[in-house]
Amino acid sequence: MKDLRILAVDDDRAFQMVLQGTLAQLGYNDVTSVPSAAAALKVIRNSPQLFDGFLLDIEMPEVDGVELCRRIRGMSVYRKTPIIMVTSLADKHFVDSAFAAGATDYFTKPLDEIELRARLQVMRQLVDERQRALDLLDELKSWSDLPKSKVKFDAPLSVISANWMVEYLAMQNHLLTLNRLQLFGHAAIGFTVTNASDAFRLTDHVGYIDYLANIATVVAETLKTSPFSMAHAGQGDFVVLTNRTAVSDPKGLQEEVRAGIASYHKLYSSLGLPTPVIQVGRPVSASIFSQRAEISSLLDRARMSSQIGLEEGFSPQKQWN
Amino acid sequence: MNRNAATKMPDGLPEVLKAAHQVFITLTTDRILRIEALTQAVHKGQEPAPALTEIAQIAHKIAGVAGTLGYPEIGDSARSIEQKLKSDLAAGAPLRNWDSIAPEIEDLLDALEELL
Repeated sequence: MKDLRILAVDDDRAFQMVLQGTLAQLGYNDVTSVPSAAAALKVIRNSPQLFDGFLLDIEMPEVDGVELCRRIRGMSVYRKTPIIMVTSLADKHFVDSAFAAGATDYFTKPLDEIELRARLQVMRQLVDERQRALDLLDELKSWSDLPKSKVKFDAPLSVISANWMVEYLAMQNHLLTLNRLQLFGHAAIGFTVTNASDAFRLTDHVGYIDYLANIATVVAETLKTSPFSMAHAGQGDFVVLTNRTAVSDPKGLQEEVRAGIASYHKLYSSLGLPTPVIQVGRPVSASIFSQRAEISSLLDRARMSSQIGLEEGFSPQKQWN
Repeated sequence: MNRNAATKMPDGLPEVLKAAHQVFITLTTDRILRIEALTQAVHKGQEPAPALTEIAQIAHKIAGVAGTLGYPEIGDSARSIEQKLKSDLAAGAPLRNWDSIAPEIEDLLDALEELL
């Protein structure tokens, strides 16, 4: 596995060394430490290689971590690079402004190895997803000789090479392997592209796969803080399997996905494709007493919910007994 | 102050943190002297906000590493001082709890001196 290239910024030399030592213990050895925002910006400007992620102390003299975060986000090459803020309990109220400045995550001092490990795993996932999205572009180029007959509108389709993208059938099978307690911890959420059939009609197979892959990537970005798997079920329906508590506000999620899609509006227009219209369904979960047949239909019910949409008779979560 | 004990490491400190521990101890002497000077300035009636802001910043740094380096009580004490000072500074009343914070600072300084 490629080592993450990390830039850590903290004005306390002792903390820098603690952080670097702990990161080394966790297997992260490509870490550059600097004592100030000014030094960080200089290193970023002069570095021949891009950094994979940043760890920024919030409380620093002159330019603080929040402002540094904003400046890094302003660089086009770091628009989506993970930025993790480091803060003390007394400064936790600055975390909101850090998120507004584009931070991805945060952890508190003093350093907790378990917490740091978890945050870096999220960083690695984000870096890997970004890489996979780039790989996808290459992959799509090599698919130009794929026969059109292999892509059917109604059929499930694996649209992107990502560790969270699974075959629809595999997702169904996975559900059946879970014990009752594990199943109780999961929820399925449907994402329906209501105008997918138009896109299928208007473009070729490569264009349609690219169209779905882009939607999958946007949905994945909105779910990045929780573990999940995603499958394309056919007919422009995606189903996501995630933690039962991961999505408490499906309407908010729908708005976030739609905003993400809207940022590609010009691209779709230039391709002569309709901008995807996404409907998110209610999270559907099994009860601890669910029967096998009900478990099998969980994903279908999630699809049905997103096909209907949230507007009518909305309730945050539907449980199927 | 027993300066000969400066390199004494807490039991069980991981190898990768020993260099950080040495730096922390080296910085501690200056931090003690600085906090003492700032505390004196406040006691003498100088404008308290800048001095207390700097004490809070130093406490922030101590709180950030002391626990990891084997001194959890010092870390807790520094964090408590940092939070109280920042809370009072944010409220625009820097000396609101000074009578109770000053003894905490003295205790922290005593604990830091024990490390040297």
